Amino acid sequence: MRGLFKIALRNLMRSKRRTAATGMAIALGFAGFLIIGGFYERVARLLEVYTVYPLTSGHLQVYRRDGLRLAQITPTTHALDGEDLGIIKTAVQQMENVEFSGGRILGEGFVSNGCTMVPFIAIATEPRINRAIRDHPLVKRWLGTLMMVGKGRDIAAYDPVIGPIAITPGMGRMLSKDLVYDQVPTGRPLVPLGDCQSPASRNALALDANVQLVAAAWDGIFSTTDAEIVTRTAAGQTDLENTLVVAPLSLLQSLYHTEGATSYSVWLKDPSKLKQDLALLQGLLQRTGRTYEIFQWDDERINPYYVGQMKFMAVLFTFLAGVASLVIMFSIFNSATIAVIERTKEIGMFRAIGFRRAYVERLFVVEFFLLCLFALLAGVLLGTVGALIINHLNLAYEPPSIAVPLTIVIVPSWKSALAGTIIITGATLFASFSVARKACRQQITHILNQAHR
Amino acid sequence: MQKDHAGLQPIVQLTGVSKTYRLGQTVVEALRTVDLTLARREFTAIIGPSGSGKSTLLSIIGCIDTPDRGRVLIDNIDTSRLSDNALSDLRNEKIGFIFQSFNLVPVLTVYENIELPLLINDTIARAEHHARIMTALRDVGMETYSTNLPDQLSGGQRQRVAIARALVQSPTLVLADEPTANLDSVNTHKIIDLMLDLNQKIGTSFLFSTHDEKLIDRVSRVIRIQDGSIST
Repeated sequence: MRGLFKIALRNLMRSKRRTAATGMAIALGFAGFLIIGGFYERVARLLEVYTVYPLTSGHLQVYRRDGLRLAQITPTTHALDGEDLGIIKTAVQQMENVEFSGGRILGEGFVSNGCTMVPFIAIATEPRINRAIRDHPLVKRWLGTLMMVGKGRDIAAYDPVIGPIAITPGMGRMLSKDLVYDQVPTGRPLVPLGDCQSPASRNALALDANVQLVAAAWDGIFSTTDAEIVTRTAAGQTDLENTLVVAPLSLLQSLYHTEGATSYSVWLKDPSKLKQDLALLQGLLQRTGRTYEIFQWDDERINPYYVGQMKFMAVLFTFLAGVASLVIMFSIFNSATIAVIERTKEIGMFRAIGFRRAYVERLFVVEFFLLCLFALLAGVLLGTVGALIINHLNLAYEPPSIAVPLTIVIVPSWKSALAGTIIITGATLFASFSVARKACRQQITHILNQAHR
Repeated sequence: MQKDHAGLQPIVQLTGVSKTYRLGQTVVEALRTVDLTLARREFTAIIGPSGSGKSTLLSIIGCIDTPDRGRVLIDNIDTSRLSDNALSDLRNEKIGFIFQSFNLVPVLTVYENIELPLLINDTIARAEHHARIMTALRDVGMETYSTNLPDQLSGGQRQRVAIARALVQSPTLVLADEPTANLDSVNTHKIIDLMLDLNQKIGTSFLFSTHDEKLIDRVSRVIRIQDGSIST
């Protein structure tokens, strides 16, 4: 290898303009890789945190056998009862890596303002979990203003006795409930609604934050309970924009006449140990003699929205990365071909004085590897500057099925940088080797005669 | 085993060597059953008109081309049995090449160009490189140009550097394909004088092609080639 790098470096300097053009193509491709990868990282982390925390999926979710499929249809036999919750809680308490955990109800029903009734999908956990999620550093970092409470305070700040709930802005409009609990003056008497079609009634609806939740309880009995809208919640997904209700677990337990829950969510301190903790919990629950099913948060069966979005993003990212790699590879092919044509005489001379084919091939590969290395460094610089500019511009867009505009933020991602480095370096080595190999496989006299022509 | 007139094994032995080229529809017989023996320390010229087969003969002796038929022995090694890598090693260790158009690497200095054959020669210790390069530079009278780039030299000086590169790993045979074709008459004589001087001083065999009849009286042996056959 002695002398290889020296010759390669000198040859790079031989055609400065071509070296600069090829290097710029690689650098721009890599910068694109970094920016697209940084955006992918941002969306992936946002969706992950949104799924695990605000949607209260947790990192692990425990169901009774067939509960995922049947808990909402036949809750008496397939949802977790109070005893199950106790058993699972005891098992989870033996796990060191658990940050917090608790029962979760995913329920349906109707919410009424006395005149209008709209369907709801409710998510309920214990208030302490709501609080932990709201204050969680990952939620603050990755969701930021997305989960910010617009009016009032979080439901965890209220006594569950009043039935505090959070509804989406869309549902608030449908129910004509603009005020939240804290905005209603205390002691104001309830105004009779009278004829719901009259303007007076519509005005009366807007004077308080009181609604009624109506549902078929798990025991089959028609059930209703009063609730106070204490705040607004961001739905995240468009299909939940007019239907989502976030409530304390006790409120929905009261509505559904149960001490149980649909499932039990477990949040981990270190999610990288997910597999070990899944196995550990499975072992602990097996010893109880009851049959439970445990799902990871990224299982398509419990979070199809997250998995679908990520598949779409992966396809998009792979396509863009593939296009960038092809462009880079063709640039290298082009540059290497010109270099080989220009240096045919040299190749013939090298072979004549005893350089083996592999050594001559290496001369070109090393030359383009060095070019690639410098270009990757330039690409890091370009990518960083590009990311800073994009982040500074605060560009917002509304992705499909996301209810709120998202700001485009490029987050540095070592994974995409590594993937870009491997793909671009691989493309460079392949392209330069292919071209050099083709030239070196020719008869030496043929190479020398070609050069003389 | 055949011995030369000095009782030594010859450096080159060609037996029944033929080579045919196909140029489109035309088949060109470049060499027709050539038998040739070159002794060590000989200073030989191959003379013949253009297209007579001089370059093909040199290429086959230099192991950069293979014959269609016949046997080639270089320093008693049958080259037909060698792999491409072994042929490369043989060229590096035993044969020096001087090209008509010098073929120096333009991005390397004179010193670095001469160093090239040593970079891949594991039989010569690295510590020895500098001394060998400087000796070669002195032998061709270019010691003051070691840091120059080839494009800063005249044609004659470039050919001197090419000769130094051919001699630096002390080959037993130096092949030169029309080494003076790109030079004026003054430089032509200087280069031939230099090659002759080196042949006598270090004992390396020289075989070069030329179509310049005026050089005949400067060499120890002349091989005439016409239509692919050695006539004399």
